[in-house]
Parts: sequence; C-alpha cells; structure tokens
Amino acid sequence: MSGISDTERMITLKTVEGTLFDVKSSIAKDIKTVQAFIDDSDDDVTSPIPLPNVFTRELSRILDYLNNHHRFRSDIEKADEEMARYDAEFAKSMSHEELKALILAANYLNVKDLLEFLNQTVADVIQNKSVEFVRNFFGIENDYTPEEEEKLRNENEWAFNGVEQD
Amino acid sequence: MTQPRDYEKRNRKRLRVTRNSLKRLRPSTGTSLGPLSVLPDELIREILLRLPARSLLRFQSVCSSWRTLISSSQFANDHVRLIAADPSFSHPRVVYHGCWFYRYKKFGDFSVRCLFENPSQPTEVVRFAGKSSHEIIGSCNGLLCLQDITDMDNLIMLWNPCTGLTSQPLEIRGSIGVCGFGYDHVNDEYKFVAVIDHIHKQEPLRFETRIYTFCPNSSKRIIQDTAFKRIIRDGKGVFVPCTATLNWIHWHGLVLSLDLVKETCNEFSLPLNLKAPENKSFIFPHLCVLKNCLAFCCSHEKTRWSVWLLKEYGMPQSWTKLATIYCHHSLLTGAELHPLYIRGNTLLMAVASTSKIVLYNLDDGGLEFPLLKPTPSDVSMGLWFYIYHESLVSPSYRCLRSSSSRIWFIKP
Repeated sequence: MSGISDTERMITLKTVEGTLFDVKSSIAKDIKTVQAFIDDSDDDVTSPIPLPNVFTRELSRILDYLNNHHRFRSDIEKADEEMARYDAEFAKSMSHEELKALILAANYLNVKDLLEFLNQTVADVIQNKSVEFVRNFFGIENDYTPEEEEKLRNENEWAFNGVEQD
Repeated sequence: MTQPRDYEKRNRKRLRVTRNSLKRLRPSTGTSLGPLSVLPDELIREILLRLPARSLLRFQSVCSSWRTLISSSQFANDHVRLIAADPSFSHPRVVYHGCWFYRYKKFGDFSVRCLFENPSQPTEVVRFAGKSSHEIIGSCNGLLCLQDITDMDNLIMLWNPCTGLTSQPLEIRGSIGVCGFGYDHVNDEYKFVAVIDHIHKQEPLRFETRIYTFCPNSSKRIIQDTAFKRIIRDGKGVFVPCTATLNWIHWHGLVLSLDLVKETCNEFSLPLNLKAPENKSFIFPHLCVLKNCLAFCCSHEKTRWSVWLLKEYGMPQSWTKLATIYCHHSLLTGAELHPLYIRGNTLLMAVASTSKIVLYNLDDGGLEFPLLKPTPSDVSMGLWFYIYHESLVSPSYRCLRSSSSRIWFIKP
C-alpha cells in the first residue's frame, strides 16, 4: 500500500526564487508536471526539482490547496461541506492579479482540479460584470471603433441588462 | 464536424494585450511577483466556456478576437456540451405562449433561478413578439422548435431566444398531429418528427410518421410504425437529453420511445398500469424531463399528484417515486399538473392547469405560488410553458439561413 504514512517518500521542489518545499509523493502525484519529471527519471529523485516558471507565493498556495483537499478526502463524513467552505475562502483570499498568477502556475504544473476550480472562480467573478471590467481584468485592448461597438451592443441589447457596477 | 473547427482556427487571432496595463498591475511588494499574468488563449477559452450564454453575448464586445471565438459554432457546441454534462453550469429559463385559440403572437420568458431564489417577489418577464403566431413544439440545446400556426401551411423553424436568431423554416405538407423535436448527437443533427394526416383529400384518412432533418432541402424519412396512431393527448414528444429519444404515452399505457439516431421505435411500461381497473382513478398522465431523466406525473383521485423519475432510461424497473403533491384549494382539484424543473433535491417547479406556477418543497410538502411581472393576464388560461437552457447554438444549422427579424425582443 502506498497510503499516507510517516515513512512516505518526500520530494523537494524549488521555485524561481530558490525556495525549497518538501512534498509528500502522494501530493506530488496530483502535480502532473512534477510526476512526469519523476516518471522520466531513471533513478530515485533525490535532488530538488527546479520549477523555473513557478514562484514561491503560487507554489505555497497550490500545496496548501492540495494538502487540504487530501485531508478532506480522507474524512468522508464532512468532506463536501468543509471542502466547499475551504474553497470559498481560498478563492476570496486572492486579488484578481494573484488569481491570474495562480492560474498560470496551476496550468504550468498541470494541477487539473485546481485549474478547473480557478477557471470557474474567474468565470464567477466576471459573469455579471461590464465589458470594461473584463477588458481591465484580462488586460485586453479594445480594437473596435466606437461605431462597431455601438452596433454590437444594439444587436445584443438584452444581454446588457442587469450588469453589476464595477 | 470538421467545418466549424476549421472555421474557428482560421479566424482565431492572438488576443491583444496592452503592455501598459501589465506594468500597472504588477504587485509593488517586490517578492514573488508574477511578471506575466497574461492568460494564454487556451485558458481564456476554458474560462469563457464556463460563462452563461448571455454573458458571452455581452463579451463579444470585449475585442474582435473574443467575438470570433464566441461566435464560432465549435465554441457553441463545446459550451452546450458542458451545460449538458454539469447542470450547475446551466441557466434554465422558462418560455411560454398562449394556445392557438388566442392567436397569440407574444412569448413570455423568465429566469428559473430568479424565481427559485426569490419566490415571494414577482419574477420579471422578458417579452418577445413574433411576426406571426407560433406554437412551441419542444426545446433542446437552447433551441426552441416553433410551428407557425397563422395559416394552413406548416412552417417549422428553430429559434434561439438568447441570441434572438431564427432559422429559415422547413415547409411541411399535410396537417401535423403528433409531433416532436430533438437532437441526434451521433450525427449532430436536429430533427423534427410529425405524424401527418389527410395527405390526399380523395383518399381515406391516412397517417404517416415522418422524420425531417433541419438543413436546406431537408429530406424526409417515413417510419413504418403503427404505434404512433395510438398516442394520446396533445401529442408533443418529450425529448430526453443524452438518450436522443422522443417519448410519448400511448393508449395502452406504455411509453412509446423513438430513437432519433436509429430512427426506430420501442415501448416500455410506465410506473403503473393505467389500464388496470384498480388504477382507474389515475388520470391526466403526463411525461416531462426532470434532472435529465424522463419523468411521469399523473393526478390521483382528484386529491393529489404523483411524480416518478425513470432513473435509468428504458428500464421500467428504475421508475422511482419522487413526490406526492397534495392538491391545494387554490388549484383546480383533479386537474393537470406539469412539472417543469427541479432544483437540488428539494424544490420542484410545476405549472397547474390554471397556468399558475407552483413551487413544491419535497422535504416539507410546502407549496408556494410565485408570481410573474407583468402577469400574463391577457390569457390566464391555456398558456404552455417550456424549459430551455440558454445557449449560443445557432438555429441557422447546417447552412440554413438565419434572421433576427421574425421574433424580436420587446423593450421593457
């Protein structure tokens, strides 16, 4: 059995800033990019695995998320309820910029569940927002002429009802 | 399927990003800063797929590459698939119209979520007007199938109330009796089924069951199955998502199921034998869809309604009793009840025969009667209600031309 035990193998990850994180191999399994690196190595990985695209802030958040989710899953009784509460707090604790940085890190590390959760978080943030808010959020330049924009707005007029204040 | 994908590839440009905004957004602390928090196109697409169709319509205005992405048919198909796979992404709405007698040219439309979240406040109705009178035949993937009932020509068209577009109509000769609308996911085709009678005036009455595909110069196939003659009541088939089947109840108290992929029929039993003498008090049998499953509702001894779910499609042993709803004094006793939607495992929305909306709490048996604003008072009786899930799917399917001038949104 490769379940969680005190003697479980640890893997060391190294961020851009050089910070080292010790991670249980059961957690590393959920980080597909790291797992692929381990699978590709012939010998046991003993030296730290460098993550050239991942910053300390993001990695520490990802590990926090994964550790907590592992813990919830081991306690089936309250799992759903506690996980939902944790997820809500987790999403709320970040600024929009931090959220985007975390999405990039989760995408690079290929942490599927977390990436889906973060994509949904962004979708929830923007769904009732204005076009201007969304341009700012993603850093997108408006390439329409005022006439084109006006025309498009008229075509989909009722989609502009009920937009929240930015 | 290859065509839309190619279309999207050709038209997809890189999303534009301003460097200035990046500098501005950079955190000032200096530690662990993400210098490039610009999400690549694939991630933006993933995020957009999780938005309601209406937000996506609005976000076509963000920039031209978003518009190209959002208006591509591949994106619309992926979006609708995601809604089907996970009901929490769905944004169900109800659309209603008056029955043919009133030659009613208007449609009312409201959000199911609003009604559930605030049943004590009247739910706002959006209204649409049509060039002619239409009757709704069914809904699937955010498309409504409409029959133009203005004159004797049978024109059948598709309408996406979210994008406001309608398709060029299919013209059908003969008078339409029993009919239905659904989606064949294997061949990616929308299909219309109708039992046509009075084909030739000189000949004795003849029935023919035809299947049409929505595409230009639609060909029809004829189904040789006499079971269609035995369908009871208004005869609009109930489309069950993911099974590609249309379902009716026929005289022998069985479900008649038409597989839209194979175009063959099948029969299976209802949760109770309507023909048995001890079940005589069960009246107004009605099929509908709840939680993506076929559901059955009927009135019993004029005092209550029973609702069953077919948990596993085509397996009559999987019929499961969902609720027994006792009649309230404000509802016509012994009348019909049409369940429309169920939220979570507790709240069931249904329409009573007085066109009154009913919210039934499965946990405590409580009933509520939410109101609409404006009240559809001009025709209080005889309204038909349909659930649809907002999508971007284009009714101009398979090169059918589309237009936005047949049915339009009435400004409040």
